[in-house]
Amino acid sequence: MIRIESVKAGILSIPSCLISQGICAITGSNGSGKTTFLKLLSGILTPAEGTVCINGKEPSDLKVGWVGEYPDRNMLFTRVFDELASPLRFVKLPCKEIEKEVIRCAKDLEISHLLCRDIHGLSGGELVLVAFGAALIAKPDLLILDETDSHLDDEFCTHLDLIIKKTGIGHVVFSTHRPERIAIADEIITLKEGRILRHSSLSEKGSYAYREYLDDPWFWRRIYAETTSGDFRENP
Amino acid sequence: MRTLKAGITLLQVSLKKGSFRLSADGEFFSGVHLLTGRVGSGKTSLGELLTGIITPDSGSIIQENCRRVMLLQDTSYHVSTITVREEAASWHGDEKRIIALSGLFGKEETDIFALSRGELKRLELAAILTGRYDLIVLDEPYAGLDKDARKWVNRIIAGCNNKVIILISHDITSLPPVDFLWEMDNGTLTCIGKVPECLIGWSRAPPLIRFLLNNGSYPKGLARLDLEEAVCRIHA
Repeated sequence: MIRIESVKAGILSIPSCLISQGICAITGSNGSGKTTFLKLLSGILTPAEGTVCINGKEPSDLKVGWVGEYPDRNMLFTRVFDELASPLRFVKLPCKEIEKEVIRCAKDLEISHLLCRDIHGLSGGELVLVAFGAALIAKPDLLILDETDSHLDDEFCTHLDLIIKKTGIGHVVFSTHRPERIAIADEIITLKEGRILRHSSLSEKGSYAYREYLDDPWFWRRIYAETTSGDFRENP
Repeated sequence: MRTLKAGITLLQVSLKKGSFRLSADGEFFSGVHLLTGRVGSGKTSLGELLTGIITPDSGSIIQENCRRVMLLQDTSYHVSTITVREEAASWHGDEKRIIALSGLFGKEETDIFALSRGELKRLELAAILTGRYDLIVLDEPYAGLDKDARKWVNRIIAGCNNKVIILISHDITSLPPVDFLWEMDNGTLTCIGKVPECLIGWSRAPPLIRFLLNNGSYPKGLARLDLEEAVCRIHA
């Protein structure tokens, strides 16, 4: 459980907010505070007032994975293997264990063929997968995706959704402007001018009435269910 | 004075980047073109070829009445100054109009990097779409933009006449009226055809289009309103 109490940070002002385990989508207009919200959860930013608690701990005491819109900007190493290995090397795991974990992670993400490649020669999608791998390999308590989907096609997004589901990470929080992407979420938080305008659950159909079908995550679940065989987003 | 229609023709264009090979033939007439395709299929490289950022290894690119050409890339590539006012002025257009259109009135002295991604994108798009360009290639113009900003971009695009506007986008739920549909598949450019007639033969159509066609609802175009209207027909 993520518990936010009396928080003020930059534009954000949140009296109280509880986010259950699972996948939570953050939406809102440009400048509404989505990235600030994600930074607070990740511990990158500490609130001027109030507290953020994740599973009873402060964010800085947790393992957090972060993937941004331009993942290559946060990469530290030039070779894919080294980038994936970096979180494990930083905590000084034995070399053999690191190698085993990197190979397993690359296999799960279907990027084994990239392990010896230079980061700079990768396509945008391949970079996202490598950033995902580096975020997931340390088995984070919280995975944050800050508009990671803004340059990705539908097939690629579906591939990432399946990976996220398979990893079983306790909390996944992502921001997006694409209504079809919200269909994967269990909860939706909509921000407006730094405040929570709406916090709804997608566990029950009709929890919020959308004015347009193309904004309605339930409608998108139907589309994916009818056009994607075996898609996990089919109605529970 | 009569305005001449712009156009650009690709004749047996090829480009090699490492193991990736791009090949393209086709004519981009005056109008709005959507260029889509999977991540890593070569869309961005094609945009760079069309605008002369890179040159092909072989083949030719013939521009007709394209005296002024612009490519929207990642917005940070465009930034060349410190404040919003300076950045708007750097485009040598109508500085006040650019600021007003991008909704940044009152933020003229703000540090350009203190803007949110969406705000910066709006500023660059306002400068490009109000500039006197004959050929405009917008690489992922909707990335980072909220719903209102997407509508705003589309209103400006809809008002552009006699220009070639090429939208490179995965996001098909926010488009303006599109005249022609193109696809990049593993480095090869294909003209799917004129919209909406070509939609029925679009073999790699995204889930929403497949859903509509499967349900016998043929959209009148790819504009947001056309898609919403086609969905409403299913639910009527």
